[in-house]
Amino acid sequence: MTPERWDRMKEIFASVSNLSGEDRESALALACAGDPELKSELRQLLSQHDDMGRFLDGASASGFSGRLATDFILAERYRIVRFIGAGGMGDVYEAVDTELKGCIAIKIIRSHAIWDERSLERFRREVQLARHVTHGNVCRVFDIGHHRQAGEEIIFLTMELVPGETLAARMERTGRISQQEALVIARELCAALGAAHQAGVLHRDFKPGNVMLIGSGEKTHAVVMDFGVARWLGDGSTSASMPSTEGGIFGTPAYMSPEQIQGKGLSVASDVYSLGLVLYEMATGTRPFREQSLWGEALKRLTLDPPEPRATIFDLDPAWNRTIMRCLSRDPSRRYSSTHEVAAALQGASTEGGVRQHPRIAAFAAFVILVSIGAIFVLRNRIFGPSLPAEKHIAVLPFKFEGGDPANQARAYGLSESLTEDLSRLPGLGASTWVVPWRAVRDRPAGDESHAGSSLGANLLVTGELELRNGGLHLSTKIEDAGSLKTLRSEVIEVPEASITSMEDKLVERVAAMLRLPAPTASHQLSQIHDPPAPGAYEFYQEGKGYLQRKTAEDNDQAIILFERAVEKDPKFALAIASLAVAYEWRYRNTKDIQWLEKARAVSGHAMSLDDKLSTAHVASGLVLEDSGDLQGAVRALEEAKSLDPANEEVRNLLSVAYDQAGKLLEAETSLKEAVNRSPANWVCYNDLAAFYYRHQQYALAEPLFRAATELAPGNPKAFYNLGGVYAVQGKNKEAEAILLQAIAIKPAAGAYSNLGTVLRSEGRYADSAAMLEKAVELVPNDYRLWQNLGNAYVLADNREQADKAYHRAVEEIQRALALSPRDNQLLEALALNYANLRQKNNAMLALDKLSGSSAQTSDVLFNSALVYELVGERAHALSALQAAVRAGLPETRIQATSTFDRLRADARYNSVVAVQVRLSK
Amino acid sequence: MSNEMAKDGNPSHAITSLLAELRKGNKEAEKHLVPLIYRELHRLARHYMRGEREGHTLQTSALVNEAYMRLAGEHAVDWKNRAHFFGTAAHVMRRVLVDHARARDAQKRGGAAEKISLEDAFVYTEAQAWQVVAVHEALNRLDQWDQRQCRIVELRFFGGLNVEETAEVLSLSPTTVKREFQMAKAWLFGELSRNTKGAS
Repeated sequence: MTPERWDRMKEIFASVSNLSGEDRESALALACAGDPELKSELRQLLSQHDDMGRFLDGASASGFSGRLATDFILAERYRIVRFIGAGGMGDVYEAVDTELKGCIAIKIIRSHAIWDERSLERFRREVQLARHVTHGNVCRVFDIGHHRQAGEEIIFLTMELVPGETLAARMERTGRISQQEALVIARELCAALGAAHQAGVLHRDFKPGNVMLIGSGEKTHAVVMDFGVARWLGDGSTSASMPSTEGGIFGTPAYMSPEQIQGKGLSVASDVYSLGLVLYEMATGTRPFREQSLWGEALKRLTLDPPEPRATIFDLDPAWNRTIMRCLSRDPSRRYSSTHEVAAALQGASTEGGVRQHPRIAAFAAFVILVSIGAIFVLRNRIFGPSLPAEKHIAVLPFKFEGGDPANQARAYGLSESLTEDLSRLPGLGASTWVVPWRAVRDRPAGDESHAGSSLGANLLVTGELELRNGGLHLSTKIEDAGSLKTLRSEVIEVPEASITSMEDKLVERVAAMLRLPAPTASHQLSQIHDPPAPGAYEFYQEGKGYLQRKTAEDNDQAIILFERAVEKDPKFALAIASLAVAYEWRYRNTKDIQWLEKARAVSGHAMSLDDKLSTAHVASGLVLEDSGDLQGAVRALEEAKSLDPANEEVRNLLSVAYDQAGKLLEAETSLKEAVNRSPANWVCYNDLAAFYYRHQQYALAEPLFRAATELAPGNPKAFYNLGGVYAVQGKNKEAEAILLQAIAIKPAAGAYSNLGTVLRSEGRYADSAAMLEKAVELVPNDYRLWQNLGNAYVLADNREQADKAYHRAVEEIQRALALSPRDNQLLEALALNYANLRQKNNAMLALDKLSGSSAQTSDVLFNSALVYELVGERAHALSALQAAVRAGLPETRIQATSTFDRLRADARYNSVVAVQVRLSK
Repeated sequence: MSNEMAKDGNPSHAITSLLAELRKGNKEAEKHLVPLIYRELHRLARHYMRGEREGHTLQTSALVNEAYMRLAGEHAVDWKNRAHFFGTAAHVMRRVLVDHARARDAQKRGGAAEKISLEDAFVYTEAQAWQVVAVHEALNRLDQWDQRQCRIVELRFFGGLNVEETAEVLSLSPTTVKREFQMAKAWLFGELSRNTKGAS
């Protein structure tokens, strides 16, 4: 390139770059006549000019600019997933919160002009206020974040990720909004603004660009974004010359109230005005005085009353026309004083104007689900129905099956379990929205329907009733308020026989929509099936799943039969094969019969060979390895399962247990803590972590966590008697007694009575203690531990005869359990203990001899062995067992609190053997 | 003459006189200005890197601005002086940014050990680091046939000057600056896109 030629190009470039199409082409041809090379070079340069967008604009290399790359970690916490859109002052990203999991939106605030300490403080205050607005139609603001890198700082805002399209984009695409839909949107906008106003927050920049629409037609949901903070975020239409100072002008003049344009103080009426403009635009497709210059438009509104919307849309509902015009009064005092009034005025419109016409069915015809006629009325109800809480703590209760046929009951049960898993895999779940793990639902006491909410720590319940109709499935499902049990949403889902496998997909899709959660992505369990299974196989699988992991061994056996049938129907159905392996594993754990372990090993290997990306297959393999003694291998397999299905609560829990068993206590603790961080309002997570500490005798750590669980699930007796238990082992008898009485008041439970009995015993109230334990065995007559405790209580109350009866009953129950699991150490040592209590020394020693494996060396087992030895008069054995127990972590307080050891502690050898070990262990 | 002023105990006098010389078109003044700016930037950067000003918003242009405020003192109010100061600083910044981007690149390939330096105070994304070097290299080519355009990009991109400030520094009309910048950008865009395609 020569300077001369470049100058020539410069001249032509300047004259044609602003032209386009043919104009440019002919100008170029004229200017470059006789020099085709020059023309082609210029054409190249011009096309680069057209393509370069904002290349090198607005941002010099010296400021922080440029887009954050995918996987960039912001503030050591938020992993950027994708760029969503650009604003004039900052970009918007989708990001994963690696701390609490779940997806959020991040808005980068880049305008360095506003960040003096004073404005930062003001910004903080406003975000703080905005955080209080928790309404289903308001996009929640979470936090302000700072990212620092070598002295430079990015300030950003984290908020709820709302998928959808803005009202602005929607109107750009389709023009005006139909009256039906406009009404739905308008009501939600009024509700959103109303909620914010009640919390003392003005929007200040309400406009279609700040409204997100989810869905369309009657099912549209509107979510209002950027409450109170819009002015800090800026957007493309905000000119940099608009100062963002207090009382000054900021934002888009197109939707500003006259007082805002004049820089006067703002009030609720200012938001009402902006709302009026948005309603105007939805109804007519345009704004009053619309013209090229937004400022020109805004200034006209300052001096003139806008033309009535009815002037453009002749058939506009008169009430809409009236309402809009009053919102647009130039004098703020003449507008509506609240957006609720606006909604009411528009509602008047709907009754007069006949906006409620035939609901559209067409939209549903596209789904495989057929929405029955009955459901359409319900659907309407759904849209106009009561709003959902902003924080959603969801529990899916086992679905019922009309007719009571056990096979179908299992299918209903399996379907509700699948729904729980699928819902917890939805994107965007986090601290404010989470799903109660199936484990907690499953283990909940029976007949607990009426206060399921407080016992599960949930505020929303998903219930369902399944019916078979013409070979297809008919499920009527509801979202209920957990407190009042009022139905908030309901829907009927029908799946014809031919597409029965789609039920799970449709179910999660519809329930997510009812809960206003983001739509499921491809990552849920059913998508683990690559090819549709052979006919009939899926039904058997689903039914089997309903039995798997229920409480009894019989349920599990039933699951095995069903999975085997599913696999028979379709030998390549990897998910069913993997589930079969898991069921075999449980049977092995129930029976300790080695053939089931081997079967599980073979079948899990087969499942893995069919599909090594199936998390269930890795779960099966992990369980097999765990039982084969390869604890590290088990951890690896379950870690793999977790990485394939990160949201699965069951998998995470199994992994925590595996860590614990493999001695990876730190990992176990971390994993359990993660669960707490992910769902900080889910009592189950606190309970699990507390139970972990409890197992490792960290009572001081366990106690506050158990307490937190009781606060989160105030209706759950388990949470209370666990807390009572941890008080009791620490000798805090008063606290224990109070909390256990509270547990019993919630719901009489055997565990609560038993723990209370223990507390009373340690206070010397033996008769009371026995009375509590009598109540416990009455409630759960097949738990040997309760009989054993009862026997102990009778002994102390000097009722030897009753005591022996209780110990006999304990022995019976243990032997019943041992018939199924002959190698269970815990059972064996309990057997020994009860024989010892019955003074049957030989039987006791025989049982102790059968103890085997590594778990025979845990402090609990050793402690109990010592008890047995002491009871049968083998003092030397008792002392060495106690010494070993202390070495394994048993606190001396346990020994001191056990009256059976009173005489042993008086023995001179106690000091030289046990007490020395206690000091050593410290 | 300007040498003596630079030795004068009060740097704000020195800076102001040097800037006044620059405004008169005395290119010699720039030579004395550069080390002053460089030293001040270095001092500030070290200050920031020690975390003494934790929580304060800092961007590179803000850093330069602060250097200017310190050096020019009470004379800082004149925006034209500020523009000339930034115009000179743009040279320094270009050098620093490019060195830093290259050092980072080398470091990623297992090069020199990390040391805290002025460069560390300049932050940009990976994409920008690449862009900084690419723009710098393309500018070296553009410099061979259009020094003015080259200088405009340098002031805008490396110096963070706006159109008016750039116009003041180069004694051009804002319209000319805009027009020249448009074309330079279009040309650079082509250079950089071809560069990426070649690299990937």
